[in-house]
Amino acid sequence: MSASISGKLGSWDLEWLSIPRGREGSARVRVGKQIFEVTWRKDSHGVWVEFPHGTFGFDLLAERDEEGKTLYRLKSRQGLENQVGLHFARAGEANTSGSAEKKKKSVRVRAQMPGKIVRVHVKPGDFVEKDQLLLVMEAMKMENPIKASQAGQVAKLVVTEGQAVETGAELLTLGESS
Amino acid sequence: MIQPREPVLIANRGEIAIRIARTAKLLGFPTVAVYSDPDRFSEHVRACDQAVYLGEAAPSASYLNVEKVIAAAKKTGARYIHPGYGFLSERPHFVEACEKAGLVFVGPSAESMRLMGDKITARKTVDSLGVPRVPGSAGAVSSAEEAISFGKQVGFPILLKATAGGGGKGMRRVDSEKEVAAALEGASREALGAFGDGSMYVEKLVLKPHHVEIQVFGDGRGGAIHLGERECSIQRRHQKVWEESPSPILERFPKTREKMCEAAIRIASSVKYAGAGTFEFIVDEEGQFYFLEMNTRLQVEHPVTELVTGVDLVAWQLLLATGELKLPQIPLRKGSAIEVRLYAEDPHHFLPAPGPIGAIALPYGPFTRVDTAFTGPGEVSLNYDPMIAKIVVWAPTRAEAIGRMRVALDETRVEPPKKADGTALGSLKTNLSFLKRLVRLPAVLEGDTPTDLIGAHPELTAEPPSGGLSLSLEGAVATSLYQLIEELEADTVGAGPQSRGADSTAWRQVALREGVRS
Repeated sequence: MSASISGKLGSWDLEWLSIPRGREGSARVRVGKQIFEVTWRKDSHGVWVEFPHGTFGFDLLAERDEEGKTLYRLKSRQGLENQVGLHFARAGEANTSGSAEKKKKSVRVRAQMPGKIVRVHVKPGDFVEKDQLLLVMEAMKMENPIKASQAGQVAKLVVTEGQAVETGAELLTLGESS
Repeated sequence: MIQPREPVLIANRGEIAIRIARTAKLLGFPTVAVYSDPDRFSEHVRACDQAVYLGEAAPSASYLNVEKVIAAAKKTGARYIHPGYGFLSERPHFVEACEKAGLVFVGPSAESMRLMGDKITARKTVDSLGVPRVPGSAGAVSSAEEAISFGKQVGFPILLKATAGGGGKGMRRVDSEKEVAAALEGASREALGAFGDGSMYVEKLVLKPHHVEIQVFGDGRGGAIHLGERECSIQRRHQKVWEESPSPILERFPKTREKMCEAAIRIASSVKYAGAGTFEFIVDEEGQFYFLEMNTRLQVEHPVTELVTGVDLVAWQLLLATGELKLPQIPLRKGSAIEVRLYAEDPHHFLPAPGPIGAIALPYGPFTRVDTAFTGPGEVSLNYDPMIAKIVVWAPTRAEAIGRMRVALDETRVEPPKKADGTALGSLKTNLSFLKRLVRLPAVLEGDTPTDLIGAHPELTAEPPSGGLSLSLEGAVATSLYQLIEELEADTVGAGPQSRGADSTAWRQVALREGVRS
């Protein structure tokens, strides 16, 4: 079987010359002009990968972006390497990350933890700057300022002062800035 | 032979309850745990010989409920109550309730707690003893105008602080007159929510301060010793994340250390302090020191002192409570110890992010101590403090201790559980990646750590790079490998357990080759 999978991951040009599958195995991979024979062991957190020059462990966590595309968060088990938003884009697969950057969408601001809204600093229709204070939420006995992640217009305000909210509850919607 | 003793009830939860139970068992005290609904199966319950259910999750219904804790002691025949830190540890009315019920509170008397625990009365005490402190308002301020006039007198920036506060709650830095009113309102509201008391006082803000504290131990009859200092300057949201002894700033000003230890003993003796207590000071870059406040309890960071002195502070506390301990000698201090606090929180903004833990691996290794209540899958409860573990290391020198901490942190892993598709289940995040960066920061290695260190080094809290442009070759291979395996696995799930991970279907391989599926 001569199946191979090629594509790009960040600035790396990769080609799997044999298809990797299973919790353990080995395969050949081309990175740029170099070809490596790698052996791996997958566990519940990520993988150990044995290269000819050494063995490297990484924890990997899948995340889904707004379009349902799977992106990976990677953390080195041995050092500091920590990266988010990784995706191996196969040849022929549209790489949408660039265009997603440009297209500013409306964002729903949600509660990250259960708590109480103690102050609301904006009203529907207000234009806000990035990092402008929107709400103050009390949680874990601390007052936490909730700031705008992007400039925009307050499209919808769901909460009122004094209201208790659960994790994930929608607090307000920031419309795209025109 | 282990001496038979009467039981000690540990009125706390989590790692500190386990830590206290270990020493109590060592000394032969039967141990009693207490717990709330979400802690029913917690490690601290298993760490004790007996356990008593207190009530619902809310601290007021469980760990802070004086009647229920005392009833639990009565029911189990406990004679001693160790409060740990937080919860009932600094409440004089609880000490009185223990005495009334014929129980021995392991800690200072209600009277010295009142004298030193309230910041305003504590300041009067230290003033009368001639110990320097940061210029502050004479008492609680009743209005923004009062705070403004104080600010004009000593010069901005000023600091608003809750009279009953601690841990940064109800605290605000104010840089100018016009910010006073809003800051005072917010801080006061926060203090009222957290401590049931919204009264605030004002202090001059010392620039480039170092937070250094002196551990003391008193015999309750006017005798007291010190056990050296801890520097806890590295803080986020006014809460400590890194504590060490000896203090880098005091290594530059050894005379200041002498004066601080002497002052701490003087205050502890004058209030006839009993047991372990801590005097917090600010030290500026010229070596001037100012008394800040006293903590009338065992501190979170007490292991740092234990590692440099070899003293088990909880053993001293318990033996003082039984009347067996005479005032000890000032212990010699050796080497360098560092503690970091691993929290369930966002490593970029430091907001609490509790949630279920899927797997945890904590460091072992030479001279490495881990105090934790998590040994496997579990849950960081959103009802309580989101600390996961304290990682403490010792080495002959500070540089070696930092190296040892770096290795310990690289060994540490805390991960949320995962769903079948590999995405995280629950909201758990940890500050581990932040700590790993911190232990490598040149300013930390050099010991140049004023309290604003984290704010002054945005690289500590920067979001990780996105999109993989600076990804290592090994990281790129690992990610693509993992992604392909996951996709093939997902594709065969549902076809029965036998076929999971087995050969993919031919059409799938073709599809992959053609790149029509993602």
